[in-house]
Parts: sequence; structure tokens; C-alpha cells
Amino acid sequence: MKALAIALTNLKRFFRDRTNVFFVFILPIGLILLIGSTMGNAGTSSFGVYPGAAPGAVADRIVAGLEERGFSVEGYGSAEDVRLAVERGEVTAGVAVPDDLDARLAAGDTADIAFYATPNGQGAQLQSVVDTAAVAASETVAAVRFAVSRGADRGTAEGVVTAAAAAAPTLTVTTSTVGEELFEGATTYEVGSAGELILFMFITGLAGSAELIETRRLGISRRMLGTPTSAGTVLAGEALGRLVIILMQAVYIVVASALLFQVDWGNLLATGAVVLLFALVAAGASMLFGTLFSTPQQSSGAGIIVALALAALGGAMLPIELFSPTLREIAKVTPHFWAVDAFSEVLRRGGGLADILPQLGVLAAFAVVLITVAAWRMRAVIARG
Amino acid sequence: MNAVLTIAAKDIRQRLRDRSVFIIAILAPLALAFVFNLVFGGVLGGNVQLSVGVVDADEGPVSDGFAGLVDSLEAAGLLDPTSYPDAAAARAAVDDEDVGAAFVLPEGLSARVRSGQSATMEVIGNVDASTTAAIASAIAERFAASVRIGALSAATALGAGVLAPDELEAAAAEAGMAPPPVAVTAVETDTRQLTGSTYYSAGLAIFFIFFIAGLAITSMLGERSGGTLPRLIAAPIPRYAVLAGKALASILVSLGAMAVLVIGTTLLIGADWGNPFGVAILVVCAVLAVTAIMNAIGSFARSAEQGANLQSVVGIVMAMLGGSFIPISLGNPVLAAVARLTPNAWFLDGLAELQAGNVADVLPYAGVLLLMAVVWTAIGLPFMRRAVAA
Amino acid sequence: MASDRILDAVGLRKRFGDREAVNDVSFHVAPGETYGLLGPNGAGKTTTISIVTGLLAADAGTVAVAGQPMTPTALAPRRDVGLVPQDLAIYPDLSARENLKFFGRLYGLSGGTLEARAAEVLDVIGLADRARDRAKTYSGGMKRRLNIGIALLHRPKLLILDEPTVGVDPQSRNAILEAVERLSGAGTAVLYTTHYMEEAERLCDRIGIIDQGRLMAEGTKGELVRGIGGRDQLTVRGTGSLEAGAAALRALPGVESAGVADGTIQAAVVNAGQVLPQALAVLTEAGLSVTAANVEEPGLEHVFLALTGKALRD
Repeated sequence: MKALAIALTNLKRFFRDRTNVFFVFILPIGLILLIGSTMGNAGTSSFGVYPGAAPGAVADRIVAGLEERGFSVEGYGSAEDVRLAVERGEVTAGVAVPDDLDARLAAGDTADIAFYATPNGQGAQLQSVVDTAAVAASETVAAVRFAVSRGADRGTAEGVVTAAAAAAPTLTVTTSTVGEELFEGATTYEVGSAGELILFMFITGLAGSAELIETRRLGISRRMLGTPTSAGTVLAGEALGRLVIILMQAVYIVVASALLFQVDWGNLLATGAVVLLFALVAAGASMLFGTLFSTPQQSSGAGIIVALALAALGGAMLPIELFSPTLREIAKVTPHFWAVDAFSEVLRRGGGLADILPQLGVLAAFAVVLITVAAWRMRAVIARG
Repeated sequence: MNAVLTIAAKDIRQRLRDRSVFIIAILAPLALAFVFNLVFGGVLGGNVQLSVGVVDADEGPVSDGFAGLVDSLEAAGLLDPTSYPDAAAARAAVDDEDVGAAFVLPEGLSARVRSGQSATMEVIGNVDASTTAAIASAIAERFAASVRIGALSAATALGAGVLAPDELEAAAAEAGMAPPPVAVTAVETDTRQLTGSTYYSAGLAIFFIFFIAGLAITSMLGERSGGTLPRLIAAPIPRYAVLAGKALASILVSLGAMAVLVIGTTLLIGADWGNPFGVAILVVCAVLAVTAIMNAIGSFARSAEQGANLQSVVGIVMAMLGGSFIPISLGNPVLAAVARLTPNAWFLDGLAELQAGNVADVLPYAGVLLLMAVVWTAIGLPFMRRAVAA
Repeated sequence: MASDRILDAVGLRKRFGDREAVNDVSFHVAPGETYGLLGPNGAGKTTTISIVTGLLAADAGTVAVAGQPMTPTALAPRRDVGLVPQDLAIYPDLSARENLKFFGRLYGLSGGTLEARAAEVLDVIGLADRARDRAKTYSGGMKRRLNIGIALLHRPKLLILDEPTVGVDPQSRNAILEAVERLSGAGTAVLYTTHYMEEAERLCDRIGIIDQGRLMAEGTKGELVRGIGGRDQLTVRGTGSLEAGAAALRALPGVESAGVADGTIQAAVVNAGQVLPQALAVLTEAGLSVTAANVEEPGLEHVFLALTGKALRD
């Protein structure tokens, strides 16, 4: 079949360029690894703490109180260091305990703990946490002072307070959670892999549109049209070539991520269907792109930009669940949204082929439209040379 | 020197006529920064105000006390409270994400506390917003701690003989609201981080500059394939002039592009690059470093096309590792260390420090970038000399 | 005197790997002279040119331009050389004017002088009305003309053209040859490499025949031809007994052979220039009325063949 021959030539030329190997095979896995390991650390709140030069009992209890509430605590050597760590975002918020905390309390004074948080971050809300820890750590001191303020003898009060503390009722806070876990059972790698797969398939497609221009520039397309080969076959050959490369990369990413990062791609039939249809969309977009520009540099440069932009808008980079409602609607204009949606269904909710028919339908429609428009334009452009 | 300037001028003229420079160095980063900011903008910033639901089934002094706490937090801009009739309604609200979390004060709470018994209050959180739930819990616990302090103080006073039993409740309320001996004072901080639109603008700018910084060596290889190299070598100009002129051209073009990007992102998407002097220092040093790296990389290649490909690979890898696309995870020591090898990381960190407003803070980062420029120039020099030979 | 010479190359050697590209080549170009390096592809012409223009360092030997030693780093001798490389050395995305002004500056021209010279060259090469268009819009011939023009801008003492007519259409080729003739007529020394015998014969005062890196022979065409023992061809038309005329010619010293063919007398003569007057006298004596006498030197083809055993053109 002539179309196959054209496709094979395309493939051969593609792999002759070794940087293509980098972009198709090494880069995607590298990026998945990078994002997966980075995302793992996001979302945990941490405190930077300077506990004072020689922390006394109260100071220690304050720091312990932070840890008990489930926050990770990083120690620093001075208040200034804590502040810088907060400013640089190394920790979410910071606490600096004065060196003389316990001494001041013993002397009957009040003491101030410094709290650091950046003006526009989540840190500010953590002040309550520090407040609570401080209050809890100094409860006996407060109780004694109150009694003394009512006229009690200090020694008597101190004698009574320990027993009173043991007997005092506690208002316990219980927590319960509602809602479906957003990324239930999904590792950070799984959350990202589907999106990155989509991203790369499209990048490979659009960046590869440069190939079509090269072929055009070398006059090969026109030569092919001159042979007893119908324009349709030439177009089919070009499309097939692009499709094969995109599919090959997709299969590679699915297999590699499954092996290296234990990503579970769910129902293989369903996953395969999404991959195949999206590959068609990407191939169609690639062909169309190739007809819009006149030099390979312009085409691949613009192609990468558009691919990145569409991936971002369509929810392939940041999970769509984190989008604002308006953006969520805009995302539906991109084929990426539908592919990611289908993958969510398959990967996170264990769906099968039947569950993703609507999304597959939309993808098929995208593919048909893109390929038709591309074919129409290609015919005109190639004939014109 | 004249020859260097002449060659630089010619190269710049050729660059400006090549539309792909505009696409790569200006259009691409601006467009992508715009899109990224649009899509990701809200996420990096983070919300300050927490919306919460409150169910008061107690309607007693304890729940009044809690209401007082909520009011003061609302006044401080930290909470946005809504009342709900019962726990089921509040639960539904949290599930629907109408509120971030909800507090439930059960019926009979005040009675139990008054009679000295332990009691509970509930915080309802959403499984996907663990930090929000933790903060709500913290608020509830703050309240619980003050209730306990009240009871403990009253009990201590009672035990010390200065309080009558019928004064207990009033004393508990008073003690509970008293300022604690250890107060927490928020200290004003600067920020030394890049956020939102600034981060994307800076990260993408330094990424795309990689692609035009390497033009010196690829244009040198282009002179060879274009046939003009022999003429240049036959001309009465010093040997170094050709490469020096091209390096100068690519540096000037890069600086120009960066200037356009800084101004463009500031105007179009509200990026805040910081003090102009600090920005200028960092930009110049970063451009020098990136130029040195790209030209060294390109000089290892034998043809302009091979050089461009190698440069693409290096540009993308450095951008990924150096935090141009996503912030480097400081928690992962390996990644953080590797990032230190890229100019991207030092450029972005320098800009982050500059957000605190002190120009001097960028000097160490600028210094490292200059060092990179020197080291990579040394690495590349022998290969670049070979490229100039016929 | 050696210092009178515009170009003096002595004992040049250059080896690439185990191949001797240039093997003990020595020649010189006198002021105002056109010297041709004639040889087939791969003979070492371009390598020699590269050494002469300072692009390459020779393994051994010296080159001096107007008495100034030429090395890869020497600046002074470069000022006196104008190079027209075999491959087009122009910037397609710059206009002719921009190309000229750029290279002019590299040769130290500036300001009013540069403008004037550029305008002058544009006129000479006939690109004045397309001077502002980008070179990539020019026809092949126009690009070639620009290629030459750039080399003329700084009025070099020595113009070097490396196979300037390869792959060029006949019209442009003729234009190039005429241009070179004019330049040498105006007193510029020219070093011209080619593998086209006709060009060498037409343009060059002296020719060096080079093959496989060695300079096989050099001299004027006449000298070369005589060097291989070639004979001039004398062709005579006339009325009367051609046979008698041929016989009479045969008797002359310097005439190797003479015969009648195609209604003319054909004789092989050593140094026709000297023999011609005697030949005419003898023919008239033999009763021939000479209407036309033509002398033709044997071609360089024969010279090359004799020297190398190969044809000049494969």
C-alpha cells in the first residue's frame, strides 16, 4: 500500500534525527518523574521554629504542641533564620520563642512569641494553631495567676493547680470528614501521568508538523502528486506517518509509567480507545498546523506553544478539579479536556469502555473535523507548492 | 574592536529580520505566561479567608463564647462564617464545598461544661481539603483550650479558697476570656518568593531566552554552511572578532528580548519583577550565563542543525530541573541540589529574594551566574575556536 | 625581484591525513599579471588558494602578498587581497548594498569612502537598481556578480577567483570573463583557478598546470605548448598549386610536416611566429597566391594530457 510506504519513510526520517528520540522517549518520562516527586511534597504545612536558647518546660510544650497537631516542625538557630525561611517559602509559617520565656513567666510577666507568615499565603491561618499550643502549654500558669488575682496565696494556688488540672473537664474536638476523596488511592504519579500523556501526544503531533513543511519544501509532496498516486493517498500517507509516531510514543509512555512508577492504567480497552482517538486528533491537528506555516522553525515553535497552552487550558497540567467554574467551561472547548475526563473515569473510577462513550464521541468528532479541514488545506497548499 | 562591532551589527540585523526570533523570544513566553497565569493563577497564591459553617444547637454561654471567637476572627478577615440549622445541613454544605469546614456545638454543651463534665464539639472537614480541616480544628481547639483554662482557673481559685462555688461559672467565663500569659504576635514579614504571574513570567522568560542565546555558535556554523565563513577569515580582522561579534550580538538581542518580556508581562499580566536595578543586574548576569552555556553546547556540534537540536535538549532539561515550569521541591534534597547547576534556579531565586525589596540581596545570585558564565566560556572556548577554523 | 611580485608562494605543502593535497607548489604572480591555476577537480587548487588567502596554514612553505608574509593571523597582507570564493559567499537575507557595506567595513572602509565605493561597485556589477533588495531575491547570475563585487570593494592589488564559472549559465559566464578581462586590463593582478581550458587560454598571461597537488609546469601558453614539444598549426588558403606549396613548406627548417586537406595547406610548425614570414615567402615563390594564413597553437588539453596522461576534463 502506497500510503504505508509513505508512512514508513516518514518514520525512518523521524528517527534519523537523534533529538527526536530525546523528545519522544526521554523527556516525557523525565517530566513525569519530576512532577511526581515534586507534587508529593506540596500541600504539607510545616512550621519553622526557633525554640529559644535554652528552652524551658513551657517552651518545650509549645513546640511539642505543634507536632501533636500534625504539623511538621523544622528547627532553626535564630529568629532571623526562621523569618528568612518563611519569606523564602521553605516553611509555611514560623515561630520564634523568646530565650527567656520560662523565666519571664516565672517572674510573673507575660511573654510574646513571634509568629511569621507571608502576607498572601496559607501561613496566616496557622496563627490559631500556635495560639492554641501556647495557651495549652501555659494553662497552669494562667490558672495560678487568675487565682492570685482573686486574692489567693501563690504557693497555695500552685499546690492546688496540678490536681485541678488533672480533674478539669476537657472540651474535646472531634473531627469528621465528608466528601469523596478527590484522588482516592491515586499516587502522585498516577494523578499526573494521564495529563502528561495527553500533553506529550499533542506536542509530538504539533512539533512534528515541521516534517510536513520540510517534505513540502523539498518538493517531495509535489513529486508524489505527480506520480500516479492520488492526492488522497499522499494525504493518507502523511497522516498515517504522523499517527504512528504519536501512537508509538503513547504506548511507550503508558508502558514505561506502569513499569517505573507503578501507574495503573485501568481497563486497557478503554485506555486504548482514548489513546487511539486522541492520537487521531493530534495527527489531524499536526497536519493542519503544517499547512499554516511556511518554515519548519515557525511551525514547530508555534506548535509547541499551542500544545502547551491547550494542555494547560484543558486540564492536562493542573487537575481540572482545581479550576474555577468559568475556566472549567472554557476547558471544554479543547479536545484535551475530554481526553483527560475519559482518563479520570477509567483510572480513578475504574470505568470501562461503555462509561466513556460520550467523551470518545466528542474526541472522534474533533478528529473528523481536524482531519477534514487539514486534508482540504493540504490539497490546496501542496498543489500550489 | 571595530570588526567586532561591525559583525555584531550585521548579526543583529539578520536576527531582527528573522521572524522566528520574535516568535520564540517574545510571543511565546508572553502567550504562555498569560495562559499559565490564567489557569494556574489562583492556585499558587492561596486563599486567606476561610469560609466556615456554624451550627449552634447549644445556645448557651459556651456557644456564645465560641460565637465571640468567630466574630473576632471574622473581624480580622480570617473567617467568613455562615449559620446552619443542624449538623446534617452543615455536613451537606461541606460536601458541596459551599464552606471549607463546619463547627457543630451540640445541644447541652454549656450544661455539661457548667457541671464540670467533659464534652465534645465537632469539626466537619472535607477529605480533599486537609489543610482547611486542620485550621478549623485549630480554631476549635483554641476555643476548647480557653474553655478548659476558664474551668481550671476557676477550680484553682476555688481550691485556693478565694472563690465561692456559685461564682464558678462567672469566674470560668472571665478567666477563659482573659489574655493568656503567652501571647502570639504576628511579625511583619517580607516575601522572598515569586508568586503567580511573576513566577510564570520569569520562569518562561529565562526558558525561552535559552533558544536565542545560543544563536552565536549556530550562526557561526551557519556562516560555514552558507559559504561566507571563508570571506570572514580572509578579511583583515583579528581571529577572535567573528566569534566575539556574534557573541555580542546574541547577548544584545537576548537583553532586548528580556527587556520586552519584563515590561510586557508587567503591563499585560501584572507581573511584579521588583526593583528595576535588581532585575537588571540579574537579567544581565543570567543572559551571560545562558549565552555561555548555549554557545559551549552548540560548539560541540558539527552542523548548525545538530547544534540547534542539542541546544533545545539542554534548554528544556535545564528549565525543568531549574524550576522554570514548576517550582523545585525544596523538600527533595536531590532535586534541589541538581537545580543548583542550572542558571534558571539562580535567576529565579535571585528574583525571589528581590521581592523583599533590597537590591543588595541579589548580588550573591548574580555572582554565581557570572561564575557560570566564566566556567562555561572556558569549557567551550577550545571547541569554539575549532568552529572558526575553515 | 621577489619583492616586486604581488604574490610569491614558495614550497607549499599541505597534508590531510595521509593525503598530500598540496605537494611542493611554488609560483608567483607579477603586478598586473593574470595567472591561471589550471587543473581537474581535486587537483589541489582550492587548498592552494586557502593557503594563499590565509584560511589554512601550510605544513611547509611561505606565502607573501606584496612582500608581506601571509599567515592565518596576519592582517596586513589580507588588505591587498580580494577573494571570490567558489561557493557563493553572500548573505541572502541582506541586500547587495548591505552586503557590500558590511564587508567594506571589515576591510577598513567607512563613511563617505565606503558609500562611494559601494555605489561604484554596484554600477560595475550592474546591480545598482536592485541594490536594496535582499540577495535571496536575485537570480543566480546576479548573485555571482555580487560575489565578485564584494571582492573589488577595497581595490585589492591581487584578486583571487576560485573557479568562478562552475555551474553558471553561458551568459553570466561570459559576463564574468569580461569583467576579469577589464580588471586585469586596469592593472589588477589576478589569480584565477579553473578546470576550463578555454578560460585559462583566454584570460591568463601565465598558467600553472596542477594535478594531484603538484605543479607540473608553468608558463605562457606558448611556452607550455612548446615545452611538451607541441607544434603550432599553420593553415593556408590560396590559389595555385597547394601541393607545390606544401612541398615547399616541407623544405623549410622548423616545418615538421605539411599536407593538403580540405582545400587548405595544413602544416605543423615549430614556433609559427618565427617561421611565418619565411613560409609566406616560400609559398609565393612556389607560385601560390595566399589568400589567408592562420596560425593556431595547440591547446592546453594537449599539454595536460602530455604532462599527466589524463584528460583535463573527465
